[in-house]
Amino acid sequence: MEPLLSVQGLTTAFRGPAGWATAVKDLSFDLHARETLAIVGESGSGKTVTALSLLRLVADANGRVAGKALLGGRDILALPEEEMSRLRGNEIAMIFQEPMTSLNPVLTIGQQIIEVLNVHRDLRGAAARAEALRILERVRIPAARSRLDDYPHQFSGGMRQRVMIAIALACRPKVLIADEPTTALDVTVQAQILALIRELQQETGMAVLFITHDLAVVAEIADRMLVMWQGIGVEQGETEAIFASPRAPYTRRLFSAVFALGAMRGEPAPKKMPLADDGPERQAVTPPQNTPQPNTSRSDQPLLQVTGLTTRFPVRSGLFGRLSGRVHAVENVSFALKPGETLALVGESGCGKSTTGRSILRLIEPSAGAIRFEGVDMSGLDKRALNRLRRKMQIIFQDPYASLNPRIPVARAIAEPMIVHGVAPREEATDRAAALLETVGLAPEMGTRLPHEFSGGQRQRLCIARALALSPRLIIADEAVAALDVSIKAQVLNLMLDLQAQFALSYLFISHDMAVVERISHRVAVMYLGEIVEIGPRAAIIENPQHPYTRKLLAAVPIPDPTRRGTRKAAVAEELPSPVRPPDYAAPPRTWRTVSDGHLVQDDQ
Amino acid sequence: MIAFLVRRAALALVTGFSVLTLVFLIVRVLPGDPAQVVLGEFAGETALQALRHRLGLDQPLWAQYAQFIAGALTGDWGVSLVTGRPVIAEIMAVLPWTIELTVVSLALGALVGIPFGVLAAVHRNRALDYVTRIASLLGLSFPAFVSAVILLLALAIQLPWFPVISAQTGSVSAWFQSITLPAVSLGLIMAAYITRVTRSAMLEVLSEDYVRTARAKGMPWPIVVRRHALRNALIPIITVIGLFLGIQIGNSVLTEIVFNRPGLGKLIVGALNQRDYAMLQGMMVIYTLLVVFVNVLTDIAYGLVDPRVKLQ
Amino acid sequence: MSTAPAIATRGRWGALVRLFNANKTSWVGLILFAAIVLVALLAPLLTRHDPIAQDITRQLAGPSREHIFGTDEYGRDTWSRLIYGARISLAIGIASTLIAMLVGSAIGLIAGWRGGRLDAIVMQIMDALLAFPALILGLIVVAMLGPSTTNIILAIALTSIPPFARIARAPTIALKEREFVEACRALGLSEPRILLVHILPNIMAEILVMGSLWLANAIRTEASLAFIGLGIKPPTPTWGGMIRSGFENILDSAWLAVVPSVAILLVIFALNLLGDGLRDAVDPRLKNEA
Repeated sequence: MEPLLSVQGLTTAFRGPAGWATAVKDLSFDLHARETLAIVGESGSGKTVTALSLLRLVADANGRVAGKALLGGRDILALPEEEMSRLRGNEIAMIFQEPMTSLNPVLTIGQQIIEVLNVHRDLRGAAARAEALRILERVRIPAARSRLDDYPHQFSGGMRQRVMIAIALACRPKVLIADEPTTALDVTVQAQILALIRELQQETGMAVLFITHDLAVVAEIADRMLVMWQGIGVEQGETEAIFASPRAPYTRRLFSAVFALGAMRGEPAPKKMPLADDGPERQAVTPPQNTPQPNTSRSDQPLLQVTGLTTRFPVRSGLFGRLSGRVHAVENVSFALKPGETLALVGESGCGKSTTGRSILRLIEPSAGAIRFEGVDMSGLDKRALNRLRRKMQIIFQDPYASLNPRIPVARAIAEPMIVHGVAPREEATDRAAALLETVGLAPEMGTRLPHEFSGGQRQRLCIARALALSPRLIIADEAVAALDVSIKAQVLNLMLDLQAQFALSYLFISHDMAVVERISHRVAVMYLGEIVEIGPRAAIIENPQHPYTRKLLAAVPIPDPTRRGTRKAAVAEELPSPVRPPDYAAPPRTWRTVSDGHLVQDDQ
Repeated sequence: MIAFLVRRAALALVTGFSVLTLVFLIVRVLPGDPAQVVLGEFAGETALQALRHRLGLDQPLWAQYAQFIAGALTGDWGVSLVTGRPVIAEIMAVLPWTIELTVVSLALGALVGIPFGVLAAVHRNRALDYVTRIASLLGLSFPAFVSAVILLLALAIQLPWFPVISAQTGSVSAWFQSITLPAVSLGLIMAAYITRVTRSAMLEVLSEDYVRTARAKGMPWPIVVRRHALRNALIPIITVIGLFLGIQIGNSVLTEIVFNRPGLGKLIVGALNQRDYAMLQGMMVIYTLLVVFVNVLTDIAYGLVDPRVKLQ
Repeated sequence: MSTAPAIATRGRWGALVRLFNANKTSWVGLILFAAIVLVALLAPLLTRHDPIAQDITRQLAGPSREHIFGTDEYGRDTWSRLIYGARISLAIGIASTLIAMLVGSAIGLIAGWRGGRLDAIVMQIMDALLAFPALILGLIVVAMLGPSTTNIILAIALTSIPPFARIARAPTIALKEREFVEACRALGLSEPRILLVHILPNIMAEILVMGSLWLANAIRTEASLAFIGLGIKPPTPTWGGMIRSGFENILDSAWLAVVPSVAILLVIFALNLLGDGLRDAVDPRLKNEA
C-alpha cells in the first residue's frame, strides 16, 4: 500500500550559543492510512523536533530543516509558507502535550473550533457553529451545546485535551500528529483519551503519528514503532516484533528499564530492575543485582504511626474573604510504617497524597490527627524538639531542579544540614558530603559544581545525598522519579533499594505510577479524594483489588505487551471530582472490611 | 459582570481611603509647623495661633483626620488661603484641562506605541527591532520637562510653528494648535513606554503554547498575531498603562508649567509658591480621586479583555 | 575541599561578566555612566571657573573660548555649573536610591516571606504609596519640610521604596513555594538563615537591576523638583535649576536650557541602557534556572 506520508532523510539543526547543533539526523520513515506509528524516545531524542519539523513550525531564524516529506506526492518541506499554512490543521493536524496551556485563554472554545472551519472549510455563521457542536459531541464532551461558549479555564485537563482533539479533527486531516498528548494527564483520563483517538482513527481512516516516551502506551496503541536516540532512528518495525526481540543496543537498554505492571507477580519483596547497564554513573555499593531485597525490619514497633490525619485548607471568596468552603485535602488518614519498609501512597491528582507527606513532616500544619514517630507524639513538640526530630525524617521532591538552590555548590548544599544541626564541624561535614556523593554514585570532585551543570537524574541523586546527610530513618519520596526519563527512573529506583538495604531506611513512596509502585513497595495504600480507600500488602492490592476505584485505576494502567492489547471503550469524559466541600460539611463515618491478612478496604456507599 | 463591577467599586473605595489616609499621615507627621511655613519666620505668636486654629491644627490628630475625611466625602475641601474661594471650585475650573491633556497624550502614546511594539516583537532581533528598542529607551529617558522645553524651543521659538502659550480655545484648529506640543511632549514618553511594554508582552505571548497551536491549526500569520497574540498581550499592557497613567498625571505638572497651560499642575505650583496650605490639602484629595478613578478604569478594561477575571 | 570557596567566588565574578556580555547595550550604558561619574568627580580639575562666581558683564553669553557652553543670567559659567551640578544630582540620586533599596527590599522580603496579615497590611500601604503620583508626593513632602538636601533625599527615597518592596516581594513568594525552600525547612534550617543565605542571593539580581533603573528615576525626580523650584536653593548649581533658568530666559539664550537638558538626558539614558540590558540578561537566565 502506498504510504500516506513518506519522510526521507529529515535533518533538523538549531543554532545555539555554541553554534549549530543537530537535533534530528537523517531520519526516514513511512506512515500509512489507518495506521498508528509511535515514535519513542527519552528527552533529547529529537522526537518532538521531528513533529515540529514536519509541520514546519521550527523557528526560521535559528532552525534549519533539510530532507523530504512527501504527503500525497507533494514535498511539504519545500512548499511556500502560504501553502503550508493551508495544509496545517487541514491535511495534517497536531495535538500537544500540555492541554492546560495549549488553548487561547481569552477565546471561547467554540471560537477556537470555528476559526479552523472558517479558514479551511469556508464555513460561516450558523453552519459553522452546528459543525463545531457536532465535532464537540463526537469527542464526547457532555452538555456540548452549552459548553461551546465556555472558556478553556472552565475545563479540566482531560477535557481540554478532548477539545484539542476536536480542533485537530475539525477538517478531517489525513495525518494526526500527537505529541505526548497523555503524558500530563492522570492514568484513568489517559486511558479514555487513547481509546478516543483509536476510535476516531477507525472512523476517519487517518494515520496517527504518536510521540511518547512510554513503552506501555506504545504497546497499547501502535501498529509500528520507531525508536529514536539523540536524533537518530535506531530501530523501526512492527511493534510486536520489536517487543518480542529488540535488536539495537539502545532499544534493549530502554526495554530493560520498562516498568511493567504484573512483573512482580510471585516476588515476595521489592526487587531491583534488571538493567542492561547501570548507566555511566559509578556503581554504588550494592548487593548482587537480582536478589530480592530482604525485609530489613528489625522490630515490630512501627517507626511511623499516623492516626486520623486530616488537613483542610480554607477557601475564601467574596469581598471580605468570607469562608466559602474547605479543600478536604487529607481526610482521616491512618496507617503504620515499620522500620526498613516501603509503604506506597498511590492515587491520581488531587487525591491528597502529596499533602499527606507534607503534613507528616509538618511542612503543612495538619488540621487534626496524631502522628507518632518512634513512639513520640509530634503534634505536641515545640520548635526545637521538632527540629531534632526532623533529622530523622527527610523528603525528596518531584522536581529535582527546583529542590536545589541554584546558586550554591552542591557539596555545600549537602554539608549544610550537618553544619546547621551541629552534627559535624565544617571540615568533617565537607568530608562526609564527599562520601555521600560517592554513595549515590557521583564523583566527589563534582561537589564544587552548581545544580544546573547536572542532568535530571544526577540532580535527584544529589537530593537523595542531601536527604541522607542527617542519617534519617524515614525518607518521604514525593513523586521522586516521576519527572525522570525511563532509564534514569530505573537507575534511581535501584539506588533507592540499595540504600534501603544498606541503611535500613523506611520509605513513604508517593506516586501515581502503579508499575513503579509495584517494584519498590512492601505495602500499598490507595488514596481517593483525600481518603485511603484500600490498603494492604503489595501483592494483595495489585492482584486482588477490592475497591471499585482501585480496580478502575489498575485497569487503566497500560501494559507494555502488545499481544495483550485490551479493547477499551471510549467512555464519556469523566472528571475527577473536586475535594472542595462547604464549610459545614460533616464527613460521613466510614466502615472497613478485612479482605485478608493486612488487606483492608473501605466499604463503598 | 455586575458582581464584578460592584466588587471593583468596593475595592476602589478601600484603595481611596488608604491612599487618603496615608497621604494625610505623611503630611501631618512631618516635622515643621505649617502655620510657620505659611506666615513666614517673622510672624507673631498670636497670628500663628489664629492660623493654626483656622486650619484646625490645634485639634487632636484623630479629629483632624475625621474632619479631613468627612470634608473629602462631602466636597468641602477647604477654602483657599489666598483667593478665599472654595478649593473644590478652583480645582474643578482647571481639571478639564489636565484631563484633556492626559487623555490626548495617552491616545497618542497608544496609537504610536502599540503598533511599533507589535512590529518590534514580530521582527525580533532584526534591524527594525533594534532601532525601536533604542529609540523607545531614549524616548522614556526624557524627563517630562526636558522634552517640553526642547519641543518648545524647536517648534515654537526657533521655528514658530506653534504658539508659545498653549491655552487657546475656540475653533478646532486653534485647539489643535494649542494642544499639539504639550500632548506630543507627554505623549512621547507615553509612546516610548507603551512600545516597550507591548514588545515585551508580545514576545512573551508569542512563545506561549497556544500561539503554537494556532499556527499548527493553519491560521494565517496576521490572524495569529492579532487575534491570538495581541489580545492576550493586551492584559499586561493595560495593567502597565494603568500604572503609568499615575506617573503621567504627575508629569503633566511639568508640561503645564512649560507650556503655560491651565491645569492642576499650575494650580499646585501656585499653591506651593504662595504657601496656600489649604489648597495643597485639597489637591491631595483630587489627586487621590484621580488615581482611584484610573485604577477602576484599568480594572474594568481588564475585565473586558480577560474572561477569567470577569467570570470569577 | 578548601578550594571550594575560591572556585565559587571566581564563578560569581565570571557570572557577572557573562551577564554584561549577554546584552552589549549594558556595556555601553555602564561606560557612559562611568564617564559621567568620572567627570563629576574630577570637576575641580576640569574647569577654572568658579560655578557660583557671577560676572554681570557676561550675562547669557553664547559659547566662546572662555566659556565653552556660555553663561547664565548671572554671568556664571555654564560648563562649570554643569559638572558641579552633576555631583549634586548624582549624590542625591545615589543616596536616595540606596536608602530605598535597603529599606524597600527588606520590607518586601519579610512581607513576602511571612505572608498572611502582615503581608496584606504592608502591601496595602505600599500600594497606596505607589498609586499616588510620585512627583506630587515628593513635591508635597519637600514643600512641607523645606528644600534641604536631606529632605529631598528622604522625599525621593519615600517614593522609591514601594517599587523595591514589590520587586523583592514577588520572587520571594515564588521562591517560598519552590521545593528547595521546603527542603530547607525540612532540613531544619532557621528562618533568618533561609532568608539571608538561600532567598536573598536569589533575588539580588532583580533588586540590583531595579536599582540602576530607579537611580535614573531618582535623578529625574530630583531635577523635576528643582525645575519646579523645590530643588536645593541657589546659588548651588543643580541641573533642574539650570534648566529652569534656561526656561525663564529661553527667548534670549537657547544654550542655557539645552546644555543641562542634554546632560540629564545622557545620564538617564545611560542608566536605562545599563539597567535594561541587565534585566534582559537576568530574566531569561532566571527562567532557565527556575
